[in-house]
Amino acid sequence: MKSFAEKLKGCSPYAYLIPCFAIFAMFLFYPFVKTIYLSMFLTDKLGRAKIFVGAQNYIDLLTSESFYNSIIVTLIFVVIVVFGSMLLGLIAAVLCSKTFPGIRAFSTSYALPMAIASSGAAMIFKVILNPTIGLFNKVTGLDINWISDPRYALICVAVLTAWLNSGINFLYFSAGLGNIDESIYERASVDGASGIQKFFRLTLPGLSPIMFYTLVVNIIQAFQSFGQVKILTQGGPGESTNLIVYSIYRDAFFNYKFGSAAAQSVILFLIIMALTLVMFKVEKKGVKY
Amino acid sequence: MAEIVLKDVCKVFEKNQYAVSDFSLRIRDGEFVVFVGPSGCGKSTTLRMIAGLEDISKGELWIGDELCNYAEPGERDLSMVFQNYALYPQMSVYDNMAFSLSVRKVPKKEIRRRVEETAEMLGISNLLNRRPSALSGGQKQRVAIGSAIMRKPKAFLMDEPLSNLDAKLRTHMRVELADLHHKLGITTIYVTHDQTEAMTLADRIVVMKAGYIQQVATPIDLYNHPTNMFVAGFIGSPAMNFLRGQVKRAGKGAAFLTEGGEIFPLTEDQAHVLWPQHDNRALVLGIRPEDICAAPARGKVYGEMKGTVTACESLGNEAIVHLENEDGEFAARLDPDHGARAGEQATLYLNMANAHFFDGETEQNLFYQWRNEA
Repeated sequence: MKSFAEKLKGCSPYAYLIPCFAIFAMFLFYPFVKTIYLSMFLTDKLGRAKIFVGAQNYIDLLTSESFYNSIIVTLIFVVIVVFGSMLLGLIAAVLCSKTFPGIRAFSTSYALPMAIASSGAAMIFKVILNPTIGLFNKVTGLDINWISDPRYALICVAVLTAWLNSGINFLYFSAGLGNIDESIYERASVDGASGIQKFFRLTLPGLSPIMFYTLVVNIIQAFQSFGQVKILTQGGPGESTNLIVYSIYRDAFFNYKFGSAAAQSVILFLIIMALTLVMFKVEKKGVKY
Repeated sequence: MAEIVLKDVCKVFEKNQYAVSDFSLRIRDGEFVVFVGPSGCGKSTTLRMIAGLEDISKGELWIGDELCNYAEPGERDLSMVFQNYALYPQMSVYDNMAFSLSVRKVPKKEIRRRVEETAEMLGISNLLNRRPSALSGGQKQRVAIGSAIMRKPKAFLMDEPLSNLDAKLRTHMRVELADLHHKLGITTIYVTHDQTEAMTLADRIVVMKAGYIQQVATPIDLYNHPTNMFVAGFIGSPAMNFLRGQVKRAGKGAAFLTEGGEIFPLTEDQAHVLWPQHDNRALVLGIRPEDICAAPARGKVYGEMKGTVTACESLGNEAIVHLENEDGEFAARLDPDHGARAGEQATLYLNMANAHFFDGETEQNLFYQWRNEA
């Protein structure tokens, strides 16, 4: 028979996990389960579950044109944001991988978007894109109502988000570039490779491990963009920038349809999870170490 | 293949710090030249200047008939093997070897033929589909060398290519490199701090110290006629023994009187050169461990040296005996059955005919000048 003290000792590893689990439980697991629970109810204005409706919230969503619009808008938004922010981050990181005077100032400015709150940046963009007094129209000589025109509103929000997300990508790519052995570039120089050949045949493959990670993080981040939409377009004009997260917010806190909002959250979760799983499957084939 | 000529080449880092000074050398077509010296002597910097990886601060670099100071590394038509192999980690061995040709847009068929031929020659045909991370050190080395010889460049540059290998493999690869050079006959510049590699591989050795060339000579010449104490001490293992002292008149001839009070007779030739020009000047006698023996042979001039044995290293075929007396510490290469034991007194004999004499201040070999004058 093991003594009580020995049994207690056997439990001690789990005891160390308690603080972490407590926080996870409070801020992740409970809201997660609660969201799934809510998604099967009609709620009152305070968000309390009142009438059980089963899958009705989901059925309503899947037959709603507005929801499909949200998904399509979100997908376009994600593609522009991920592509734009990774490209910006990559270009900045490659430029900053050479040492020259003032490099630190450049590095800081490229990483800075990371430190700016999305709503703050959105306010600034709002001023810049103002059709009459905005800097952008003044400088380019264009006369476009960027934010109020359904053709441009989504692109504006996406470009802003891409810029905001590029800061962290710059950091990831800089770290990735630092991991590439300098001597392979020297050998490539002696071998006669041009700068472009070096970039495509050494730098890009060398970045592939970090590239994958960055891609996953960026996609998840892009799906969850909210602040800039809230400030810049409020989902409009019409529903042209009504991203899923904004739609969730609108359903829950304007229309008091907490059940429907919860159901949309669950669907968003499923989409992100499916994408992540697919990417991890592909990663095993595509990433070269 | 081409001749490489360096004229007064200097490398200056910030604020007049010379990493390489007045480096002048003519490397003949097909020659195997080894740059050797302690770390920081500028040998790698010189190699990198030839490769085009470092700018040349002053002087001229000629490859073939072209002045190449400002040519891009890729335009110089050289190939280089790096200390850490510098294989492209994401590419297979095949692609690694094919890289220099594929960036030059050589037809795929031709590339395949040359890769297979080279792989065959180096015995790495079975590795072509692997990635560098799946190779051992020796295999990586072969791939690096294979990648370098693929293109049949004007010259090979090798920057300590064997220093990451274990001792046995290093010996093996050394022989292979020598064989390869014999087969291909391409001008090779090889940087190492390992004197064994330098001695065994080189047609000529360039000994460097603090950015300056000390001596350029064939391995044998370097060993037998070092120009100064640095070269004498650097080449040979265990290193040459040095004794400080002066030349004194002794009977008809002359003798070398060490600071520790021992007297070694000089041969006739030595006495002729050293006496009386170097009377009363601080000199250094250099003697290699193999020129110290346990018993003198007849008909030769020997200097008798006493000392306490501090250690005996038996290597099977020979023994390195370490001795200590008032003049310092010495190493002697003796037969394994010499009988000396650590802690005991021993008397050893210096073969004076093979002794070297250096100026105590300039550290120049006095007989090197004499030899050149003669």
